[in-house]
This record gives sequence, structure tokens and C-alpha cells, in this order.
Amino acid sequence: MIIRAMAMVRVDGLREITMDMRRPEPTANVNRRAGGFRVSFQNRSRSVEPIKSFVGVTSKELSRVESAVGTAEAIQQLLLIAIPALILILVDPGPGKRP
Amino acid sequence: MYAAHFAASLAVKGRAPRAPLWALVTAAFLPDFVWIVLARAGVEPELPPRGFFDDWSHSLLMIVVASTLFALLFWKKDRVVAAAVWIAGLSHLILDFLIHPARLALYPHSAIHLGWSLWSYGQEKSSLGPNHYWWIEAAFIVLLLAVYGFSWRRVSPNWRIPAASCLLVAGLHLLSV
Repeated sequence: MIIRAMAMVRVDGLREITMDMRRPEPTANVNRRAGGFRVSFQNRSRSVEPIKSFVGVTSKELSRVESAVGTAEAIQQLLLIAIPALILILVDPGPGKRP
Repeated sequence: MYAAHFAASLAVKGRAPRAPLWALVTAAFLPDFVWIVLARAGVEPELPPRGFFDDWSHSLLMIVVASTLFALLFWKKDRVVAAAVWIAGLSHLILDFLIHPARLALYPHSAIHLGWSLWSYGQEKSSLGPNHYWWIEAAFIVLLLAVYGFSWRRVSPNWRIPAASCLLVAGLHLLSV
């Protein structure tokens, strides 16, 4: 599941943030005018690497990205429960409605 | 565990058909819902340096409290339904008792921890492909879906609904290989 969560992060000059939640450890690619960076969470510890013309990243930007990844993870976890639950509820119609 | 919690709510549904499935699924996942909120709020971290901590959502006391409070919502309407919802909530405790990232605490910040610490064993690859955790959860799913299926057979000859539900839960578990 890839969550495009641009609205969730306020990073100066941000063009796009893409989170790849398919991996066991999430990764966020942040593209901005002043060069992008990738934040990955390997073994639950954060690492930052540059993409193309990287010119540095502030701790404020990093904490915003980290927060957005956390929110995206929470949304993903809720959807992983809610979607199958909804299908199950539709399949088994409930009290008094069984054939 | 993930698909096993769906299987547990179906098993309870099979024994108490009057109970709405949405309530049973919600009860079965209640500690996980609490965990998602608390993890996001930073109360239950899973990151270093504080490490994994989920006493507020997954300790024995808090699961009993959360299940009881949720079941009480159904008490006036139907006591059988309330009991079914309560059991669905407690099923989370039973399923997480065996394998969980950390042993379940008796109450938040308690030094006493319950459950088996099979987490490391569960992460090891088995000779049959997926890891041991996957196979243990599969065994629980088979057992719980059998309860659901046999309970259905007693009340209705229609096998399509339980078959579809069982296929969905089995499919969810297969996707997690």
C-alpha cells in the first residue's frame, strides 16, 4: 500500500512525499525543490539518505516526516482491520437475517 | 495475531448468532484499536530507546476492563449478546497469550508478566516454509473456523455464508505468508 500523504507534512518547498508501506519497515520519499531525501525505518531506527541534489534536512522537517509516517502506519493498521471486517459483516448479515 | 482475531469473532458468532458481527469483530480487536491510538500518541512506543511497551492496551487487566466496558453497552438490550461480546474481547487475551512481541503484563507497569515468550521461536523459519508463528496462528484459525462452521450447520443447511467467511479469513492468513 502506497500512501501519498502530501497534505500530512509541511516541509519547505515540498513537491511530493510518497510512503511505501508494503515493506515491513516503512519508507518515506520526500521530494522538494531543494533536493529530496529518503527516510527509512530499518530495525525500527531512523536513517536518512539523499536523493539527487540533496542540500540538507532540518530536524523539524524530519520530525514532521516521522509524524506523517506514524499517521500513515496507524491508518494502514486501521484499514487492515476495517476492510476485511466490513466484507465479513456483509457476508454474514447478522441477527434475524440468516436464511 | 491478525486473521485469528477474525476467526475468534466468527467462532463466537457461531455460538451466539444473535450477536452482531460488527460488535464481535470490534471486541476481538479492541486492544489493537487502543494500541493504534496509544502508539500514535507515544504512550505505547515500539521504537528504541524506550522499546516495545503495550501494557495499557494489552495487559490482562486492561483487556478485561476494555472488554467489560464494551460488553456493558449491550447489557440492557440482550445479556446473551453482551456475554458473547465480552468473550470475543477476552479471546484477544487468549490468542496473544502464546505469542506476542512482549509477554503480557498483569496490569500496566506491572513487574508480573503472563503468557509464553514464544516470540523469538515464532519468528524462526519452519521447515514447511512460513515461520512458526504463521503455523501456530493457522492452527488457531482452523480450530476457531471449525467451531464457527459446525455451529452454523446446527442452525442452517446453507453452507455458502460460512464457507465465504472461512475463505476470507483463510485468505487473509495466506496473504500474510
